[in-house]
This record gives sequence, C-alpha cells and structure tokens, in this order.
Amino acid sequence: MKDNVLEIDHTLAELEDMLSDYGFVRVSKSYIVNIYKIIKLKPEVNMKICATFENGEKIYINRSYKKSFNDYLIKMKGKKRVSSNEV
Amino acid sequence: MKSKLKELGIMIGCTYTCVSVGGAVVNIIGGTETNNVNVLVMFWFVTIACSVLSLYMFFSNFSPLLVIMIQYIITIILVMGTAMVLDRISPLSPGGFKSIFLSFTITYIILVPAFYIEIFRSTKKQNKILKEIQNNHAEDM
Repeated sequence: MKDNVLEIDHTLAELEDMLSDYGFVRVSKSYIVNIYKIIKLKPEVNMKICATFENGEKIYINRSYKKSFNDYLIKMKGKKRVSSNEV
Repeated sequence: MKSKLKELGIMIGCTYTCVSVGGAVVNIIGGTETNNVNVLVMFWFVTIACSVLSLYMFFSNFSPLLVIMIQYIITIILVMGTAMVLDRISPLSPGGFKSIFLSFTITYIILVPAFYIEIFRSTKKQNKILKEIQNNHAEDM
C-alpha cells in the first residue's frame, strides 16, 4: 500500500473538501499533502516553501497557496483530530 | 478577485497612513510644511507601489531577485512618469527628480530585506505550529 499509486475518480478540489479534517491541505495546483507527515518547512530563495516529508520526498508550497496553508495550520492547531473511525 | 482588491485597499490604507504620519513628524521636526498637491502625489505613489508589489503572485515561477527588479523598474517608470506629468503642470524644484528617485529607491532597498526577513520569520512560526499539531496528533493516537 505504501508504495502503491491509487487512482481516484475525484478532482483535487473535491479531495481537499473531503480530507481537510484529516490533515490534508492543498499546496499547489497538483498536490494535496498530509501535514502529519511533514518533518520540516524551509523557505527557499524563490520565496516558495519546501516541505520535507517522512519518506524524504520534498514538495514545494507555491507562493499563491502560502496564505491558505498558513490559515489551515492555524485552524488545525486548536482542533482535535477526527478519528478515522468517525468517517 | 474581490478579496484581493480588499487586501490591496487595506495595504494602501495602512501604508499611506504610515507614510503621511511619518511625513507629518518629519515636517514638525524640520519646521517645514506640505501642500495639498504633495498629499495627493504621496497617495498616488503609495497606490502605485502597493499595486505593483501585490502583483508578485503572478511571477511565482521566476526568481525573486528578477521579480524584485522587474517590480522596481515598473514602479520607478510609473513614479518618474508621474513626476514628469506634474512637472508640466507645475514645474518641480531644481533637483526634484533626483530627490524623488532617491526617496523611492532608498525606501525600496530598505523594504526588500524586511520582506525577506518576514518570509523566514513566518516559516519559522509555521514550523512551530506544525510541531504543535503533530504533538497533539500523537497524543490523540
């Protein structure tokens, strides 16, 4: 499962709505990421933010998504995580 | 679009307030006075600077140094263009153009590093929030 690719019949916008309570947030036109898997965030000279994940993968948070990413972190800060049993 | 315009309006309002208050303090200290045209020109320059700077998201694929330079060139052209139009209406004092150029350039050079420092500071804050969220998550598991 860990190394598999799953094909899903939904748009990223739909997935973002469905998964936002579970730590997933949109960071670019092509990526939704799980914030619980991010090890660190690092600003780059091109003003994008590089997110490093537990598996060593690096994904850039685009400048146009930086504000929504920050708002999402603030929202999640005070929020108790929804258990997967509640889905 | 509406929210972007609202953000721009707030940015112009806040910047103009800071610039005009700063100008008033300098006038009081220096014992100088300003006139209504200067107040309007100051507002116009603030509007130009804020509008051009807020376009940065459209250049997200370019290097920031290039973006900063492009924005500086566009802004200085608009500012000096305005100064030339004003000079036709009411001639500027000798050295007026140089003074406008230096005032704008020095402010820009000061603000750009401040902008970068803010980016690094906000990312540090995001890392801290992220750790808090992950710790809460680990406790919930």
